[in-house]
Amino acid sequence: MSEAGFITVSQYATTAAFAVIAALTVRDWLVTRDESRMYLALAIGSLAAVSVLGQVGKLLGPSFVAASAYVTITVFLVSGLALLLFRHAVIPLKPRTLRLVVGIVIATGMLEIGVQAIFGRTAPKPIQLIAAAAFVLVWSGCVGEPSVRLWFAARRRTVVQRARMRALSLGYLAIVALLLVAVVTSSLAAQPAIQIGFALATIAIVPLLYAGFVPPTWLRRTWRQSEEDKFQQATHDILLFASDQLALARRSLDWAIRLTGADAGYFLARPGTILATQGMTAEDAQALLAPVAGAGGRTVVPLGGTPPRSAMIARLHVNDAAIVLVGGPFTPVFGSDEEAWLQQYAAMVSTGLERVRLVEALAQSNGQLEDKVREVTERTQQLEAANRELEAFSYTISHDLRAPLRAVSGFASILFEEYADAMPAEARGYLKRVKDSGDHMGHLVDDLLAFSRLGRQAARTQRVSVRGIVDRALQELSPALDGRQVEVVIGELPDAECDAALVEQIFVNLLSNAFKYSRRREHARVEVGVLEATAAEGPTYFVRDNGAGFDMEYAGKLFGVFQRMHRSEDFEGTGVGLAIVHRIVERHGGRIWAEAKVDAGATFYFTLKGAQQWRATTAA
Amino acid sequence: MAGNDGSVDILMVEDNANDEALTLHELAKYHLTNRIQVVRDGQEALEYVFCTGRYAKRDIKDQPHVILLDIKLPFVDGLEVLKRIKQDQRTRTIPVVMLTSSREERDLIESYRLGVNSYIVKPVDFDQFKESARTLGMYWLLLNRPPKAA
Repeated sequence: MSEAGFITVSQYATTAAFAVIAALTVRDWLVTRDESRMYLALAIGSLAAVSVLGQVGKLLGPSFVAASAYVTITVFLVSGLALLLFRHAVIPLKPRTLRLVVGIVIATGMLEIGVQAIFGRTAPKPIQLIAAAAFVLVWSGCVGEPSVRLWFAARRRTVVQRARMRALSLGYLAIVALLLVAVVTSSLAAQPAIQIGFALATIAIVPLLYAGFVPPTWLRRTWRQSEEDKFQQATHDILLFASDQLALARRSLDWAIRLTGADAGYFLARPGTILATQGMTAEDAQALLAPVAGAGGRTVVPLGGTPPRSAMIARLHVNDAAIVLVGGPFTPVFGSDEEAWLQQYAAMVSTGLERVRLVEALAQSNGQLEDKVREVTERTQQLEAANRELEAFSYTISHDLRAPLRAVSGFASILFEEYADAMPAEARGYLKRVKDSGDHMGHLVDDLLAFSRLGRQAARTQRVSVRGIVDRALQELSPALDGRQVEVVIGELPDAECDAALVEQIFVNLLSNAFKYSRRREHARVEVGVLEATAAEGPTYFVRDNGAGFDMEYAGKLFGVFQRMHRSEDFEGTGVGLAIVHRIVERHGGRIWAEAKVDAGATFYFTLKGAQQWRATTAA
Repeated sequence: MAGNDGSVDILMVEDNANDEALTLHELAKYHLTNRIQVVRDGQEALEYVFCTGRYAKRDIKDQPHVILLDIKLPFVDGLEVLKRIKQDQRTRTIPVVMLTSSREERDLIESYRLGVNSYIVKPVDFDQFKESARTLGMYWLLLNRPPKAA
């Protein structure tokens, strides 16, 4: 290929590349409908048009070039203005400055057109050179200033935004370079080697433009990459160690903003409830709720405004929560890649949110548990206090009630023993009653105290031989039998899990009743044994006698304190013995009942086990 | 009823006049009341034993052969009196018998922990009471041999 041919091909290639980038920017604008993208599409499209006009001119000859000169200049002017407006969209200028700059640009453009119109394309005059130079300088200023500005403004931005701004800066720089190339090429057209060099430079610059203004997916990913590595580490923190929803919301929002290059964002705990914001106030976030709620299924919503913004929504799978990101001028693009990334991220955050909710629920139920424990502790303390009071009460009874009784029966005794001769028989009889009543009341007090002590006694359950217990009870009762002949039959008695001392009290009371109520029988018979055991209640023990029995009609009163089934003339007693038995059985979780018939004996049945475990009852 | 030299056989700490009368009645039967001092409350008992206050002129070396002590007393209760007597080197060898209405186990345990020599529950039944008073007097006054006071 000849040098001229190579130059031609490279120029065609440059024009084609421009056309492609123009098409891409236009598509980008059509997708986003973003004002800044519109200016960008206009600028690149204009430059492409200039390039195309140049090539067409070469093909159609000088007459077309002359005819299209004004169009070329105008279009070129438009590209400069569009670039300026793009800059204004991302870094706003003051209105006055903007007006001034636009005026200067248009003025120099008109000057160039005017000069061209007056002098045509004849030999260059100084005025033509001046106009051309002014036009090129102003245009370069329009394009070069943003380049420098963006480069330095990129500092103190997040990594992704910084990359985006530097790329834009390079893009502007590339356009300036292109113009210089064009100017130099046209002025040094004579030297083919230089022309080739510049043609190559132009082709090399085009991809820069592409990357700068319309960053492709792969490039955006590269920008994210360094952040993403750090993010991987942070993910564990966010998902596994965030202690509450607020912490999770703040951290996940922060990372979403950093990785997408967004300007701001907020975390929606549920529709209408903003949990956290970043880069914006809660009021601003509140204002965005309506457009975001109206987004329907879309993930990117244009928000309008100056500069125009758009929001990207990541919906979480818990409670309709969402992360909403608001793009700014330097947010690269909310493209499909960002959307895909964000949806994946949303899935992760959802998991984290789920976990945090569970943790919070657990903490709450732990709190409730602690409250319950505190409640129970308080209740226990109250019970203990009540118990202490009761103890003090029975202590008082024990001491104070017994003392006067002792005096009554004591002095009655002295009278009875030492002054009996001085009293008539009737007086002695009354005195005897005084003494007996005193003694009886003494026994009542003692029994009552024994009964109340039962309630506060600590339990000592262990496996014991019931047979051994019954034997001890019989031994204890033998003096009271006073030589009476009673047939005692003891059946097979399995061992039991119980408090031996208390169960011995059961047998002492039941057996002494059995002996007492059978004492009028010529042939008294007392039987101790068990019925068949059940799994729930264990064996049922019984104590049977053939004594006086009682009327079953009154069985309901049997186990009440001071309840008696016989007149005290017939059988002495305080009416506390069975109440004590009942309480002991109850405290073992068992139950007690009786079967009897008047003059045909009585049988008392009881179990030591049941649905209830050992209960620490308080004394009644 | 104290002896002429100011020393007594029994110090009885009892706030209940009836109990006092009954006990004295029984002890008198066995001629054991010759030298008995009765005080009404714990404070007075301590003053007597340690020769302070109302008994400041007493000689601390003249101590009773036995102290009969009720638990429930006005001002200073029996357990406190017992504790003070048993903690003091000069008085710890005096036999102390708790003679009380209390059937409470904790009183019994506390008394023995403090070093009581005997613990007797006053029976309501007068026959038993008489028996207690009699054996008590016999044992502590006639049979028991206390060490010479330090």
